[in-house]
Amino acid sequence: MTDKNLLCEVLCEQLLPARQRLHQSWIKNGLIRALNRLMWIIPVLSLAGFVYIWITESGQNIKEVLFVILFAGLLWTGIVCLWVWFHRPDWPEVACHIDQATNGHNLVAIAYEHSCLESVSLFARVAIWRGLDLLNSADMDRFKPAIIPVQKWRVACGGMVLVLLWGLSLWIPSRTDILGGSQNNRIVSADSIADSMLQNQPQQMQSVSPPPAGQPRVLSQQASNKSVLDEAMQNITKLAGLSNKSLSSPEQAGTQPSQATPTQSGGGVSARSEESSKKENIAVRPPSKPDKAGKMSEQTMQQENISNAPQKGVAGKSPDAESDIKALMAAGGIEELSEQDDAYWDRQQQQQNAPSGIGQKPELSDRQSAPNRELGLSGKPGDKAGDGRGGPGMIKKSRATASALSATTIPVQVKGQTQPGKSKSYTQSLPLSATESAGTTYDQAYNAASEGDISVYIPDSQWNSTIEKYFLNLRKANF
Amino acid sequence: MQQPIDMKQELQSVTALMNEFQRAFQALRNEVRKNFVGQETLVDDVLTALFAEGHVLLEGVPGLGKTLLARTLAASLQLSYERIQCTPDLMPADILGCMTFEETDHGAHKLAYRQGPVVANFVLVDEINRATPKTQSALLEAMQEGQITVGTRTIPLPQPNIFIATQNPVEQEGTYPLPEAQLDRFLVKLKVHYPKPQEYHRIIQQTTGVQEPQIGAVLDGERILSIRKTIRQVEVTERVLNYAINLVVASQPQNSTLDLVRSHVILGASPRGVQALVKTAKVRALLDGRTSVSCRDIRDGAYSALRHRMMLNFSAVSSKVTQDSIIEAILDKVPEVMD
Repeated sequence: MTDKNLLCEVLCEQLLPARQRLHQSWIKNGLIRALNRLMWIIPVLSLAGFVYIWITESGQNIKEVLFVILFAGLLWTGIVCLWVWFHRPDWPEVACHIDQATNGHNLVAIAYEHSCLESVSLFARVAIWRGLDLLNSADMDRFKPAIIPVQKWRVACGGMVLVLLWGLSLWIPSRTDILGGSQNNRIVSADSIADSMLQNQPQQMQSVSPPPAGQPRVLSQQASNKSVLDEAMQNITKLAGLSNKSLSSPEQAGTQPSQATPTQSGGGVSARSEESSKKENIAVRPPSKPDKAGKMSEQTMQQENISNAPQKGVAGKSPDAESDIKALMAAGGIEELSEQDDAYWDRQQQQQNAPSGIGQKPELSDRQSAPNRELGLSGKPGDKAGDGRGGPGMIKKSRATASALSATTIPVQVKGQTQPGKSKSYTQSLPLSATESAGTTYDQAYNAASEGDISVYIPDSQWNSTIEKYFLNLRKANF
Repeated sequence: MQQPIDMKQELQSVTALMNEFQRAFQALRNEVRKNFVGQETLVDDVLTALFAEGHVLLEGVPGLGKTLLARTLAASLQLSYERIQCTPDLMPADILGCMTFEETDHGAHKLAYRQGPVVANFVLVDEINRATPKTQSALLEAMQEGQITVGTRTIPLPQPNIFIATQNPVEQEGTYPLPEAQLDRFLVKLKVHYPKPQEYHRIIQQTTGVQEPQIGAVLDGERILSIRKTIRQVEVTERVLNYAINLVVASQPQNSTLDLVRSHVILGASPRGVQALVKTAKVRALLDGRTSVSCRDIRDGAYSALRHRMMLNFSAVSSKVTQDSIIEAILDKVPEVMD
């Protein structure tokens, strides 16, 4: 055994107790660190899973999710512990830790490093002796590697959250009414809604009171048109293309607080169409204008809510829908719409058909006065009228330019907003007359013939010189 | 049983060398303190540079005793001492010497070399930044290689060779800042601060009283050279050397990972910076009775060894970032133990 190996072995023997102590402290620190992390990761993940399941109603068992998260956390802790157990500190690390605890000059680490070298000088050997001397003289029992403190508040909070979540997971499945209440938000098919509505039909019939006698637009009961009305409204509902998604929308599903009644809360459009078709005394009419809304009775509002969805289906303008409406009108089931109502539905249709953000026209009824452009550094409104022209003064301050500081621009920002507004456009398609048809045909034929390569006329040299002379003479004559 | 005997002998021999150095260092320190009051760290740093085979640049406002410290140290050493008082009209020939036309005893004439003040063991270059760059550059060869070249003649400087230069950082008119090449040749740049309030009494008594302290030479050139050899034997482990290199690399804007360095430093420390770190650290280790350099020794000498090797940009000057603050950040960020 060489001196080098001997010195190294002696050093390692001296370092062994410290290494074991350091390894134990690493294991403890690893566990504490894992606990500190887990006690906020697991509650946060559990809470997130709990909220996710609650919101999405995905049907997963909360207890299972909590168990999976907890199991993953424990598995991770076990892996960390195993890694720390098998990853023992090497000798330089032990030496560095002893140096940190005993002196500030890396004596032990330097001694170990020198002892591992092949050739050791006199000064290096002295450094090794010095390190050995330090290890012998130092009280290694005092060498206690630092232990990470357990974050008690985090463990306590995380434990409380976990216990709470476990309690909730045990309590919630037993409370079917809570889950049932949340099922109101589920997306359900129109058929199921329709079935449920049909089952509740007698109650709805009772709940909707007959219209007042003074309402001129409410149709009277016509029992002979019942079957026609049923068929037409079913067609309207199908052709309106209402998906399950749209049915789930609270606005169309009639789940708004002002519109929802106990019997209507679970209903969809198709169900309502059947319902309305079966209720002979319920009128189908567009909603009144906002100024008339205040005068409407609650009963009329209910009637409008019921009849609103089928009318939007009419706005889809499919031929079958139109024919159904005509058939309905011919049967006397629906009163003919007034011109104002027709204009209102046209506007609604244009708003729905218009591409979002493009070509939206401002609504004139929402028009506001132009912003005042009397610009100043203070930003306060001046005494000029807010007509957007800066008032009648002679000198106008240009936009985005400061009046006091040169080369310092102040950007002007005029607040505004685009609104979809209401607009109406008419498209009139008239049959072409015979001459116009002929002209159009001729134009098309001419355009078709003129398409292709363009032929360019290039005169020969004699003509070229002649033309050139002509223009030169013409130029001389002019000048 | 052979090993403990060897260990004892080796320890005794090395301890004897260490004691010799420590006694010499302490004797010099005491002698300098007779005349130079306070500033213990400054004195130790100057002596460290002396034993680490380096030159010293002292920087401080007027009246703090920079020249006094250098003169006292020169008086404490049994060495040839010359002083160069730098002025704007000082020429390189005034420092290095020149060829003069001389008459021989027989009436003949010849060109002979007349040596300048630079040819000495201990050279005090006072107010070095008042000399022109041309004159300053005359010191480059002398400081780095220990020799000067005049015409075709190359003259080795006597060893040990120590340059101590002083400069005033405040006064800028009529001064010429030292070029980087010149600055890099100083092992350390030491800042002379104001003395402590309690040290003023002794300063006034010494400088205004009748009795003047008697400074005697306590160390000659031979002993200094032997101590320097001992210091060179001090070991530096791979880990400690890596730490020193990492410190220097961290000061280079091209290689540094620190945002402060990349944004404020134009020129970082050169390999001479590592040399300076290791040389001064060896002296510190031996002075502390250790035969191997530790990371703390490197760290203790980082400010004096690196501050004049970093050139800052205008952004640093405008935001009042100094070399010392950058070194502080480097020491803070670069870890000691590098695996």
